[in-house]
Amino acid sequence: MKPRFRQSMNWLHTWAGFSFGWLLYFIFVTGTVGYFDSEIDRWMKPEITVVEQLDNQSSVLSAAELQLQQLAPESSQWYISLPTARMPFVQIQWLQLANKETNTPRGWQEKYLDVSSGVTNSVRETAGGETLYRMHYNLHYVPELVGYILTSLATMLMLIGLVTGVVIHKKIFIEFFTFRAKKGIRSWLDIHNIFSVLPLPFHLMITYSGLLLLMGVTMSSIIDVRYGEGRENHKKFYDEAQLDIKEVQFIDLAPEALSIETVLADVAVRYKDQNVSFIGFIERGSENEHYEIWFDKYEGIHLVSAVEYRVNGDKVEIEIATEKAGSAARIYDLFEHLHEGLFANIYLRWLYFISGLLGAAMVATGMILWIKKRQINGASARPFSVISIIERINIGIILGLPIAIAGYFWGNRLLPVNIEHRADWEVHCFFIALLASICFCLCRSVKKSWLNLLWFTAGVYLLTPLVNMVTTEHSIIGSIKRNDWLMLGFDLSMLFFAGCFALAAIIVQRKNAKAQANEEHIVIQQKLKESAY
Amino acid sequence: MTFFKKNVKPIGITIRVLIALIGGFVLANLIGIIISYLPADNKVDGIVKGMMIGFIAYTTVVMYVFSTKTAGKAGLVVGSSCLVAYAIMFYLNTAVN
Repeated sequence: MKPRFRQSMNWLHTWAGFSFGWLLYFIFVTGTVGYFDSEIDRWMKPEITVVEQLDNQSSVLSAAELQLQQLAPESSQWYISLPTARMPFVQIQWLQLANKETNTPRGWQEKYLDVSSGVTNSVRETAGGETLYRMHYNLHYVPELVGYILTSLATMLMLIGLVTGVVIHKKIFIEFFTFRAKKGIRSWLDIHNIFSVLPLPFHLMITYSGLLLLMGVTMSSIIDVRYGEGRENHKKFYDEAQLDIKEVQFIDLAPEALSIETVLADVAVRYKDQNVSFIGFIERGSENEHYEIWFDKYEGIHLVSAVEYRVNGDKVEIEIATEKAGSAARIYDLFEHLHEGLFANIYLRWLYFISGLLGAAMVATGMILWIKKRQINGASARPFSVISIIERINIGIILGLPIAIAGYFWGNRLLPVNIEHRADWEVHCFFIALLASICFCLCRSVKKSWLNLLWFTAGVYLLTPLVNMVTTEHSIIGSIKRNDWLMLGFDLSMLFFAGCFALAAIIVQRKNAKAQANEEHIVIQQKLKESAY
Repeated sequence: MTFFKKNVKPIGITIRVLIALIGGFVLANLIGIIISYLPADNKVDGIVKGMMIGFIAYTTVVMYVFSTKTAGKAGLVVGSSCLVAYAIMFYLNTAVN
């Protein structure tokens, strides 16, 4: 394509990155926020009563069971979640069967238990942290399949961008430590290199594993050829793919004594160091009725699995999954868990978060670089040239997305609690805020757009804890008093982000002032020259 | 003719993009299918392996398509590779069934 291989790869890097740049930025930001989905979920459900540890586990369990009996006697699957560090509350979940008479679709339902009274809390309807993180692969408004294909395509181009990015650098190690400030386009290139090279292993891992997570959709032809086309055949493949190697033991418990409480008591003896996060009562009423135990810290990088208790003949057996049956499946599992980061503790979780943000920054600086290079070539001499419109939309998206996320949080607090389709409206708030930011940038000059939006973002994040305080009973001091660390952590993070955006705004402001002073200086010098002639 | 002469560069790029995206996808899938027939721990594992390597094949093909001198050469190589891969897949499929 170009005379040299490296030049061709440079071209490919530029265009692969640019073509889906905005979508990649969206995927990176929403996906990164997803590392704190449980924490966001807790903030978006302020009515939950937080409990760090259960003093009277058996009475709470029987209260939870009673609630499930009343709310979902027919349901085949019950889950009770016990308090853990990331989810410090008691939650009941059940699979609601479809009912044509009441027009209820089949789906999972959840309620939160007030531990002191034993009844369920009424929690506001919210899209929560889950919807926010799911946006990064289903893109929300488009049909699911289209979302999967678009995100996979963007991810593929990202992988190509990464590999070609490595190829085109002659001195990747030196560039790792190179930053030439105040050198215009050179500085943008340096910062783009730093954001890319510093977390390169993370970028490669997250991109490749992202592709793997959706390979059942994008590479389905392989399943078609080997298992046959159609949903039934694909299901057969997935059923076989999910098989674990299992270890079965018989235990000393009478089958009629098997219940949620006895299972928990047995687990407490068997796994002394583990903290139970979920207990499930699965396929109730069928032959395969069994209990599932999920541990809080049992989720290793290579293994996420449950311990199952079931009646077999006149004995009770427990089944422990050790790992996947095939070696490729084990590698797939490893990538999946690395991508999701469920095993990560709070420090590693923040590292994931920072790496994700560096990824978003890499995409953003790449887009800016693309625009700046074309501006040097004189393409944006006219005010409404394609490049200048792209530049404005770019600012609108780069800063609009953080604003949109804040809009999502504000929507949760400010929308009336009883409004219909409240969860949907929270998401609408997100996209309305994003669209408004883009429109704003299209109407303003580039310099002012950066500055105004940065200050606006800082303001919105600064006010989020205040909105929380005004609309609910939660405040920063109140959270400290109640030991509500998730609520406190969220509010403090908002203040921290506000600080970051304000700092960025101050830097831009100074730069603008300097540029203006320079321009004035040049004008004065020109005038002096003219007067001298 | 003058239209083609004038726009030879954009047409070349469009052809390359099409070869890379569509041809690369087809070739990646075919390579994945062939790999899924290689000895593995079990049938499912072979398929998982094929899919996982398929993405690496896709990346390599796209990079190749944009590194050749002419779009025609890229098309020729990717097209003939697809044919060869299809033949191998067809043979493996009939041999296994």
